[in-house]
Parts: sequence; C-alpha cells; structure tokens
Amino acid sequence: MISEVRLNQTLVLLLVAVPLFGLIVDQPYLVTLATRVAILGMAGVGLNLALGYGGLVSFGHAAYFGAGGYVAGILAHHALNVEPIADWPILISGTTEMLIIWPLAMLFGAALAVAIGALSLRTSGVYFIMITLAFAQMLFYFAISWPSYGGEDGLPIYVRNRFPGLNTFDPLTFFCICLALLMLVLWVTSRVVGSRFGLALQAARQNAERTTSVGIDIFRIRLTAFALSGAMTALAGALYADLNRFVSPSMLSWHTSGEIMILVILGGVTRLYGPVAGAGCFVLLEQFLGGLTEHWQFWLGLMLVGVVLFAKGGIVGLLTRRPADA
Amino acid sequence: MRDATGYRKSFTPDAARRTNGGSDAACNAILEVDQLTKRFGAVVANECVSFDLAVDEIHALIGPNGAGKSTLVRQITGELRHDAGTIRFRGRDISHLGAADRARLGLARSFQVSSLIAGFSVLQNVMLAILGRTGGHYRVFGRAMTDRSLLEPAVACLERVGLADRRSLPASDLSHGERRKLEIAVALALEPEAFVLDEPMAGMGPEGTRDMTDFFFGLRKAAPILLIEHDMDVVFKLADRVSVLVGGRIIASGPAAEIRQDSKVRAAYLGDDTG
Repeated sequence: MISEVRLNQTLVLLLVAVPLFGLIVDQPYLVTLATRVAILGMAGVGLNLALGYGGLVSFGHAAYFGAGGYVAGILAHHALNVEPIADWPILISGTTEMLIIWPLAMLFGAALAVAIGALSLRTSGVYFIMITLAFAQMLFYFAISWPSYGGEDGLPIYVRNRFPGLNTFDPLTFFCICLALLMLVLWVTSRVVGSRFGLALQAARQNAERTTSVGIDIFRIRLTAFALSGAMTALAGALYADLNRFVSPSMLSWHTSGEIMILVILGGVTRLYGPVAGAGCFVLLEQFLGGLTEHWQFWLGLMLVGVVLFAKGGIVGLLTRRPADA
Repeated sequence: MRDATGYRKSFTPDAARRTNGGSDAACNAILEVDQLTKRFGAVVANECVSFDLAVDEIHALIGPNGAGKSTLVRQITGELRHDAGTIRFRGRDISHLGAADRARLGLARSFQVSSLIAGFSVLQNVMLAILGRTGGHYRVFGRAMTDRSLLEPAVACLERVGLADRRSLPASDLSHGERRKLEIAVALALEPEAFVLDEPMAGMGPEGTRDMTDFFFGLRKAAPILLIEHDMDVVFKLADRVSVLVGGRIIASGPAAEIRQDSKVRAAYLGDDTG
C-alpha cells in the first residue's frame, strides 16, 4: 500500500523509463507503446473529468477523440496537397504545424461537446449514456460516407506534423511531446477539480437538488465540464492521428468510446492518474496477452468485471486502499 | 413602482390588495403566494392556495400528513412548476424562474429529509453555499479549499450553529441533530431574504427541539421564516401567524392565538393530532 502521490510519481517514472529502456535494448516499439499509453491516458483524463468528477457517464467520447484526429488529418491533408480548405470568403489553407493543429482540435472538440452536451445533458442515467452513444455513432457514419476524406478507408497523413525546433519523426521526441502534454492536461485537471468550479461540479454529481438549492445552475456547470472534457479528449485524438499517421472512422466508433471508458474504470474513476494507470494496463494487456491469444479481450473483460465488483476505486484505488468517492 | 433592479421592496397597489385580507403585514410582504393550484393528473394537491410572508415574521404552515405541504414548498422553491396562480418574491413574479435563480434572489430552503452532500466535509457543504451566493463558480483555477473569501464566512456560519469544531468531518459522519444544524448553517450561508424551512425539527429529540426553537427565534432577525412544522408546541411558541392547510386548501389563516381557538382548525387538525 502506498500513498496516492507516491503512486502517481511511480506511474510517471515508469512511463519515462519504458521508452528509455526500449532504446537501450534496441526495441523501438516500446517507445511507440509508451506513446500510446500517454495518448490514451490523456483521452481518459478528459473523460474522467466528465464521467468521474462530473458523474456524466458519456459513452460517446470517441466523437471528440475522432474529431481531434480528423482535425489533424484534414489540416495536414490540405497542407500536403497544397489545396486550400476554403478560398471564400477568406482563404483557409491546411497546416502541418502542431501548434496550430492542437488548439484547433481542442476548440473543435469543445464546440462539439457543447452542441452534444446541450442536448444530452437534459437527460440522465441510461438515457444520457444512450444519447451520447447515438451522437458519436452519427459522426461515425458521417465519416464513413464522406468520400473527400477517405470515407471508410480513412485518411493517411504522409508526413508527421511539425513542431518548431524539434524533429517529430524521432519516436522519442514525439513521445516527449505527448508526455509533456499529458502532464499539462493532468495539471490543468487537478487545478480544475480543486477550484470553485470543481467544488460545484462534484457537488452536482453527489446531490443535484442541494446544489441547485444554493443557487448553482447545474446544467451550465455540467456543460462547461463536458466542453473541457471534450477539448482534452480531442487533443489526445490529434496526437493519436499523428502517432499512427492515419485517421479512420474507427477512431469515432463505439469501440473507441468503450475503450476510453474501460481504461478510466480500470484505472480508477475520480482518480487524477487513474486513466494513466488504466491506459498502461490496457496497452500492456493488448500487447502481451494479444501476442499469446487473439481472445485477449476476454481476459480484459474478466479483469474489468473484477475491478467493478471488488475494487471500485480501480487500480489506483486498490493500490492506495482508498475506496471510490460516492 | 419598480426601481432599476426590477424588484426590491416596492409594490404595486394591486399586489398589496391581493395579499392577506386586512392584515397589517400585507404591505410588507416579501413572499406572496396567490391562488396557487397544482394537480397531479386527477389528484388536486393544492387548490387556490394564497398566503404571504411579511418581513420579520415567522409564518407557520401546518397541516396533517398528505395536506400538500411538501408540494407547496416545492412549488415555492421552484423544484415543481405550479399549474395556476402566481408566486411573488420581493415584489417580483418568480413563477417562471428555476430553483437556482430563486435561490440566487434570496430564497433559502432547508430540506425535510436532510439533503447534504455526503461525500463533502461539513465545511465544504457550507462553502458550496457561499459559492452559490457569491458566484464565481465558473472559476476553474485557484484552490477553492484555501480561498479565504469562501472559508471565513463558512466558518462563521458553522460557529453560529455550533458546528465549527466538526468542520473537517464528512457530512455523512454527523449525527441526525448535527445534520439538521448543518442544514441551517447552509441556509444561513446563503444570507437569504427569506427562509423556507421544511420541518426542520423532524426526527429531533425533545432537547434538540428546544435548542432549535430558541435558535430560530433568533434567526428571524436575519430574515423572515416560512416554517413548515409538525410539532404544535414549536409552532405556537415561534409563529406570529399560522396558516392551516387541509386537503390542499388553506382552511384558516391568522395570528397564532386566533388559530389555536379556531373551531374549524381544532376539528380538522389540532384535535386529532395533539389529543
């Protein structure tokens, strides 16, 4: 049993150690694995803000993950083909600059979350789960039937997007970018959760009636949290597209929503580093169990059942012996 | 007659006439309920209920179980929409406002069954109320738990109800009586223009009830109280005026002493209940 701070430090240390070890023993795929953990972890941290702290069980976060991916993909596609996205009323051209792509992806993710949230947050419980799923599936089918950007086949990004002064082709450099952004997202989340807004959001989760009776409009609080959550997940999506140099509708599919949700629950709902632990566990299982049997997801499912039944605080909760919040 | 803010204690003559007939409190009413009606399908929960709450009074609303008291409270606080009639607060029609907006206007309520945030500490429960009153709940940076503009008034409220030394306990660890006190601390933290206290003595022992009765007597200096209460001793000790709700209608309303003598009320309610 260790304190949560110590566990979080260990997780980050592990995440840094794995790719370094990979380079030493000349196994570069370990760098890619660690990058995947950082990116999926970030998507999970985004979902955790809505699902964990806000109690908003969104089963449609693939929408924001995929939207971020498509923003990166489409901008790069236009830049590489030297054709503008629009030439009227103003000229909008594509770009391969990460520093432009990221804020755009986050902005688009947040806007999408506001639109979807404004409708779905009027429902609760199972209806909320279903309506968020439905919206994500709508986007999924839209992407499939949109031939200009690859449709069902997806959209390749031939060259990895650029970051000023860095060689993003180098796997370790790209990993460091992802890790730095993950740490930034974690820091922002910790500040948000501990703020006045975080107090109101968590109060609304635990007792909506009481929170309303002190004069707080819980709908708007939740919508704001949903937008923040969508922005973070979209940023992860943009990085994921860059990692694979490929965007496809599968990023928008309900499998992706399920995976993000699984790694949040596996790691520990309302635990800041929970999704990172969950993503690590998920990628490890996928890699090593997946090498042994193609039915590795059966074992993942079994693990998830175990966590839900016996360790409600997930991996982080289990290791720190702090049960889940109400 | 309205000032720039649209409300505050100025009234149209029409509004004044509609309030409780002839009572000298009428022109000072802060909360006016007029001809309020609520139906659930064929069941009439409240029918043409009218009463008002004057500044610096305690107005008790009594009635047997199922008389429609809770439904009435929920319509006043905005959790439930009424079918007909109007609710005016601080001279302004609040019928169309939601519960959060009514709370921000200064209408504080306590819940019949303690409705606290169980996973929050005692202090956090009160801080949330301060946050609701002072706003700024869209501020996403800055630590709330070390924010002195939230902490200090919250601690002050806890001191007033005698819970300051329990501040770091989770609300779920409090005894029943302490939870009731925390409810009051939360209501105080809202610095309301009027309190709506829904059976604040429910489940309290005789001693706790006596303490709270004294406390409420002092509370009226802060703001007028609409008191929904079952305990007749408490009601007649505290209330300036009493309205009796039976079968969804107000059958009598007036000064406490008058209501105690009212034969209709005795037959419908007091006789059965106080024995």
